[in-house]
Amino acid sequence: MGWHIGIDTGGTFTDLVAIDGTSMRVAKVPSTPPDFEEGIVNAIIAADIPFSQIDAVAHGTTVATNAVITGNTAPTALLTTRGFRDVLQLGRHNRGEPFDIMWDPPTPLVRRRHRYEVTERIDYSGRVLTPIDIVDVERAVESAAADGIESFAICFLHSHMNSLHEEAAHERILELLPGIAVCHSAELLREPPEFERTSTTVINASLMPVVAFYLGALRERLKEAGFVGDLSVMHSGGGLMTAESAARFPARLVTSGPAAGAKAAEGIAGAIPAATGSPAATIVVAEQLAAAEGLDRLISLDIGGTSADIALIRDGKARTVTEFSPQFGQPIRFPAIDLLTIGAGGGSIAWVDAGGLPHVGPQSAGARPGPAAYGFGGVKPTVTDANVVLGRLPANVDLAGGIQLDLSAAQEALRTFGEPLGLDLHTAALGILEICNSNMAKSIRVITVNRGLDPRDFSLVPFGGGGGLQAADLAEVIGIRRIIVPVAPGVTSGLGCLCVDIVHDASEALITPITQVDVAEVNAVLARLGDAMVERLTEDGVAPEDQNLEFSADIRYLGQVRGLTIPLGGSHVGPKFAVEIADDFFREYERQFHSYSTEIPIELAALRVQGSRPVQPPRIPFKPGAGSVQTQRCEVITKSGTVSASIVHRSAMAPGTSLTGPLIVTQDDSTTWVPPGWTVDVNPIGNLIMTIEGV
Amino acid sequence: MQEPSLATEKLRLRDPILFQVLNSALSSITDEMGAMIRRAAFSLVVSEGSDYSGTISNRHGDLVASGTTDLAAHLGTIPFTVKGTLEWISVQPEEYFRPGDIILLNDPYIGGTHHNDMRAIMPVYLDGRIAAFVQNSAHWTDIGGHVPGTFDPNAASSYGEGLAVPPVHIVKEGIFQSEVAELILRNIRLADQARGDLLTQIGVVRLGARRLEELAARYGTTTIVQAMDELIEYSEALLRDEFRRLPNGSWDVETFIDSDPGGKTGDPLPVRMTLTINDDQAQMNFSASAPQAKGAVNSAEAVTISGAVTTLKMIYPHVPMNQGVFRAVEFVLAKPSLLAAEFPAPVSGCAAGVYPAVGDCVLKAFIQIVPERCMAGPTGLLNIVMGGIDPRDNQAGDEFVMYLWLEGGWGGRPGKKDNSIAMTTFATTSTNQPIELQERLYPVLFDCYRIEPDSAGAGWHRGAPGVKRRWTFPDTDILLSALGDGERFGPWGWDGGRDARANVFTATSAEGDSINVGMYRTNLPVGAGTMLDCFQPGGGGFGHPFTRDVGFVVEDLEEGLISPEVAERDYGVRVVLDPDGRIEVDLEETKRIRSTERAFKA
Repeated sequence: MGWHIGIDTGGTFTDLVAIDGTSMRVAKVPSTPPDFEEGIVNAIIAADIPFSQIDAVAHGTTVATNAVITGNTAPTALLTTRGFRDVLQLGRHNRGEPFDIMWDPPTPLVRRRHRYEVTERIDYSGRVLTPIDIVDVERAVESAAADGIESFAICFLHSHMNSLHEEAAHERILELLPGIAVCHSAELLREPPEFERTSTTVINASLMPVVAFYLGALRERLKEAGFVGDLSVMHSGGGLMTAESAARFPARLVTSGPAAGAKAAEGIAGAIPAATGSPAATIVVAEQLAAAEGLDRLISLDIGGTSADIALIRDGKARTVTEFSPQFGQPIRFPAIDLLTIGAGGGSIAWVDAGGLPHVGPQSAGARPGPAAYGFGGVKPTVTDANVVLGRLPANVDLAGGIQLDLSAAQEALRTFGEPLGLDLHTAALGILEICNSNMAKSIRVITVNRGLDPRDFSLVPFGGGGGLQAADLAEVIGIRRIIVPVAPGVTSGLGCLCVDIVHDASEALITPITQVDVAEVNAVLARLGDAMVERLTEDGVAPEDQNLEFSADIRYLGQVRGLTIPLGGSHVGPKFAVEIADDFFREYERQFHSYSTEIPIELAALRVQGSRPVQPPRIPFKPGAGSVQTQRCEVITKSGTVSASIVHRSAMAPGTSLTGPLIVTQDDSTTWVPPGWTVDVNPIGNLIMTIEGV
Repeated sequence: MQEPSLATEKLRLRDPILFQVLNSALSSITDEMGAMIRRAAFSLVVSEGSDYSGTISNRHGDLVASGTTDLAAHLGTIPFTVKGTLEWISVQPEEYFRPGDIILLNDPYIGGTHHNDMRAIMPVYLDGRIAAFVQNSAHWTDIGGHVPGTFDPNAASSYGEGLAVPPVHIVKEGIFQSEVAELILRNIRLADQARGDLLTQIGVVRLGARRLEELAARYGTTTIVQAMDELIEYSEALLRDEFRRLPNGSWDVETFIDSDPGGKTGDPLPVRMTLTINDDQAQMNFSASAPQAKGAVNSAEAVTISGAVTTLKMIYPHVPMNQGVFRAVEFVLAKPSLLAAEFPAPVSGCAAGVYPAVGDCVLKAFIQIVPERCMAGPTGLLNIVMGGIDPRDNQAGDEFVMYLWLEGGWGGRPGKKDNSIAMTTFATTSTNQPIELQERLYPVLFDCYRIEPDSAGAGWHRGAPGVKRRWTFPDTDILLSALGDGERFGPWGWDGGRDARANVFTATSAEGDSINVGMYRTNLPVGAGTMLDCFQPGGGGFGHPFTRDVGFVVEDLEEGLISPEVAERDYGVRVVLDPDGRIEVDLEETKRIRSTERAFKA
């Protein structure tokens, strides 16, 4: 077996985890914006893996999310049914802050002048009322091309019932502008209503040139280096898709998290990428950690260079949403793992506003120029610089990616922040961390307290290079008493890309009163869905014995808009289907809705299939090293004074080890600060369990 | 120092984190109630239009928590509904209720809105006593009467406005009272849909009650009860703190409702308010408003006060919406009057007439005191109900009722550029009903749904444009009723800003005959193929439009939001189109036009 590589590109670092059946390698190198593919190649070289021996690369990337949030999507035109060009802007007509007069919606991704109406009409049943006037399409193309439009989205009314007109428009655009990016709504999702479908289509179209360009460059660069394997990309639902699929359906790469991060970055130029390229990957790892540790409530906190991703795990699972919006009013109707991203990370810049108030972030020094201490030319004070000045990132310890810390550069940068405020160096550094922690604590409260959950009932799991540095201080602010530091917290997202596998969903509408259901017809639809799914999985290279298909049916009361999805337990249904599914429906209905009626007739609405390849997730094993526990000491400045802390390498901490803070745990991919009062125990699988009494 | 002060016993001082957790836990319960009714409701107006609310009140009926997606106007009425119910039963709640009971009501004179808003209330027992009430409202598409969809502007009295339900047990100790249900369902159209919505509402209040019980099991009943009371105190304190920052004084404002559909004169009906700020107390005195009307444009007290408190919530959005908001304001209403009608006066039009008018008064007063928090006039409301027989094969000749409201825009703001498209303030949380779902459920076909150019109130900061919908019923005759306001008076501009274009609703038959449907129409027969054409206004402008940045005017031209004619007439900007259709500003001429107007004004 050749190498399988999980590689995740964040705004600051590119993480790699590679397995070849017998061994595992990890690497962490700086990301290389805007040409992120360079960082990927560098990571593979750093892990010393020959390109020709790589079977598969699974990749997580922020390219799509960043483009949407910063508005750096391709100039896009939208073709709509005549009379409906404003559907995109009217949206659902609601407000992000219903009562706030000062609230404004984000600018639509397609300007009104580039929304073209086409004479055509299909009714609710899919019947053509007015044939498409292709001349309207031609006029739109001419006008759009003159305005430099690079991508076309098409969304006509009721196209989920009949996509003929959308397909005709799609073809004509390609005839007139061969090779231009085009997508029509019916190829993305076959369901109403029109705004959600339009929004998904527009986001997808506006990302097609962006993602195709990026993946093309990546594949080219890998090929040059000798790679001939499969390239797949992590999507926001926590699964993989082929690079070809990703280029056609780039909206699937957008993550649900950035809404808050984007808000934090309002009015600030430049990208706020997620902490990791595919936050879903980290969360998949956190779920596995929850299972391994027997814990059902975790807060996963992934602190990167520019931002932090926060997710909640309850009952061992992260929440999934079927619709999410990177920003208000931009819904994407694809399943995604729920998370929150904020603009606070190691590279977040500390600054003083015109009124003399200190702030940290959301602007970040990113990978370049990076924190001052990295010595890449950064001069602005960052969270990382504060950690260096305070001794938590000891200047004599090398960081991942061969970065050597420059204490005097960090001190110099911090002076520019502290002096205008009249603060000495250490007070300024402590202040930066305090502001940063309080920003993160606020966000953790948003996803716990705002849902009626007490964060004190959760364990905190820090990921990323900076997670371990801040976890304990942050836990104290929130009142969390237990922290679990995984074996390799700095490269988890890369691991996550290897942990997940191909998952596809498909459905077909079949609306029939349950008493009139034709079992043969149901079985025919299920067979059709199953065959198509097998074909899709086979195209993805999944061997027949690894293909897992699960079927379900959407059932609702007659007249109801939404219904319930009931698992079928097999690929075909028996003669008693109507009675059995009704019983299952009533049971599930009462469980979810606290009442049910057998008097109101029920109907079958749709049949669904989910196809997947289940995997045995790899786990990074704890590898004991030669180091002894007490190797070095250093001075660390805390709020209550200077303390002398030991520096311990993670590889010296064998299972069963128990130590107390102050302590700095170093390892190749991250650093963990254990303040006075905290105890750290190493459990049998090598995770660090940090606890504190009575906060 | 020996005696603990009252303050230290407060939960929010003793354990601010726990207080905040419980605050959020309570609103998270109401949000879960909202999510459930959205998912399980049968009528489109609830599931897609979000015409619902789910609330928690304390044992006295004081509003404690509401969902973030709850219909704005409901919220201000809930205290009246729950307290009104407690008055109605006129015995101690523990004597009247048993665990597992749920009551149903829609009576506008017991704190309701219009008859279509049906409410379920469930007492929540904690440690054997009633500690709270959970409530769910949902707009039933029809609640009987001679108008499909029930809204009748010309109803002579409450008896003509559909079935009124005083507080009755729909569930007794967990047992569904099917006789009560059948009595109601026999009197209304679309009984099957209503049966489904009733089922859902029962489930929603059960969910709310169960979640409160779980919360109490975890934190203790005493703590929960204390948190509920302190939340009210907290909101009151926040709002009073805002009032304290305002100058003391009195402000008189007025606005007008089009007319009394049951009246003889057709004169506009004034709604007047005197706002008095005295340190941390506000008084809103509406007693100089019009007397009670003959037609259905009246409002019972609850909706009037709801219009005032929810508008305050818009001006001070950081104040959590609960009973505390009511406590910081004294309301003075003449009774009986347009704003505080007495039974059996008809009140179906409360949502379209009095509610927005009261909101306008509050905005008009506060825009003089805290302009940076306010806006010029927002869009109003027009309720349109249409019913008939669905001729489509798959509907088997069933009767249908379609309820449509239109979306508009909000007014220009002193503190921020322009404003965006939004719902009437009655329903800022509502969402539109998608075209594709309406066409699936009803035999209707939409011709357009779009932004209307040249309709925004012009200003230095303009209002949002209004919205146009056109539709037909291609294959069936229907009956249409309309109940709205704002045909005579478009949303108001402020400080030199222009009023926005007023409401227009017309019908043009297949033969080309056109009539004005207007705002007060009962059971208009509309033939198959007749084009219904409705424009819902945007918002009024703020500041003189001649001071608007020329670049912003050009941007509006390029986006097709205004025409060159309006650019010149309203904004004083002369443009010429070059042969390629590109817009060029004639700066000389613009300067001349703009200075003429200034000179004229001076």
